[in-house]
Amino acid sequence: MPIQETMSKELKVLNIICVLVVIASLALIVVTAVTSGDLLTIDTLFIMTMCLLMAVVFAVSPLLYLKSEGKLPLPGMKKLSTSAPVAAIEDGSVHAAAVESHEVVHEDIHFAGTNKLFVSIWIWLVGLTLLEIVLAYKTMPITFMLVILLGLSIIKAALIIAYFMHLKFERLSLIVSIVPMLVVCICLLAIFFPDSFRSSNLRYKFQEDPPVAPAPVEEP
Amino acid sequence: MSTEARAGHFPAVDWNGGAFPYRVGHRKLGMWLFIVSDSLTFSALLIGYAYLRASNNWPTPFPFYPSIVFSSVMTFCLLSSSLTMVFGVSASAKGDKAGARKWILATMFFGAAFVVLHLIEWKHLLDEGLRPFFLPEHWAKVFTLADGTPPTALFGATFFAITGLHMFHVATGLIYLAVVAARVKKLKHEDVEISGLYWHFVDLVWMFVFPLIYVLSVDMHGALGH
Repeated sequence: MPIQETMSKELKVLNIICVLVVIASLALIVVTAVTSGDLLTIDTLFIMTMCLLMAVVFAVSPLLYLKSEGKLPLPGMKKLSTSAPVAAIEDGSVHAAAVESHEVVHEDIHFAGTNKLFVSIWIWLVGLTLLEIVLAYKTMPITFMLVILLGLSIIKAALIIAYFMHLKFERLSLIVSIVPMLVVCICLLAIFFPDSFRSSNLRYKFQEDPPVAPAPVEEP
Repeated sequence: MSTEARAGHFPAVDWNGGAFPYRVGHRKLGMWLFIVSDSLTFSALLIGYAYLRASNNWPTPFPFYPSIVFSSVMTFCLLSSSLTMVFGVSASAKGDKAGARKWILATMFFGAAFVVLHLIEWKHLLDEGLRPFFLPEHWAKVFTLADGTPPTALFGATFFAITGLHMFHVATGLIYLAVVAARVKKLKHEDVEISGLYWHFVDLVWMFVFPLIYVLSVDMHGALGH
């Protein structure tokens, strides 16, 4: 059997195993969420974060495979996969030139994005901030408010990271090395948040009568 | 032939990057790693704040004027400074060093405006009597619950710690940008880009500090009679 065929078979098996692990992890998240009764406890959050981590780690290989085949059903991904070979050729030529001059050239400037794009991102950011300020004066349960505000903040952060910090235009390996690690670490920190409800119940309750020392028992 | 040059013979797809796997220089990668670690510092502080907030009777004292107006204008300043910084990096990428310096100076102007406005806002609160471990007396009275639970004095501690650390980052960034602006003709494009990364990160952190600290603690019903 030619080596290419064996490799493609192995790749298929590997991807099937990965997809199965992803599905199992996601299923465990759903089961935990449905059966736990109380979502906001450290145990539940910890199990769910761990399952999510497993799902993400095992999803990387199948997703990269799909991307290399150009089958990833995401808008913008087609452009990425078709432009990748071009970038590879450019890289190759830059380094080939460096080889000739026996000197490595680091100044390989690739700056994408126009000023018009950056201004429109800025307008979005200012608009979302105004929305936050308007929301501040709407009466709603604090949990709703927190979820909406955090959602808006994450959108704003993503816009800043992707366009202003230029991460969208960097190589995929850099994005994959930096972003998931950070997200997982922050989730692990956030797991301890539900403990605050327990700690608030430990507090001295003011509505009860203050404790009184028991009357001394008289010796018979 | 250096290792890096040899790596260039192979096609650079996403995972077999050879000696240059991220296509960024070591300085830029270092800044990215610093940003990751620093964002964990801020996440820890903000999650600690959320923890204290959920387990205590938390005062919500910020009036529309001055606190919310000031913090909104400060947000606007930081967002605009990010825009001017992007313009600076873009000019530098085109080799227009003078333009890059001009835009970096504009960034510094907005950054300095942020620090000045923030210090004025701090002074409002300090004048009211807020300290890291004490609430002003009238706040303590107004925010005491019906069952007698007093508001927590940790409000000041979290407020000054988080906004103070952020302000320290902005001030450090101003010094950093001043150095970059002064030496822009000698620096490579990548160095300008790295200073931009740091500045955008400072902006990014404020996108979480502003809603969590200010917007969630608005004195909606005018309890303090502002």
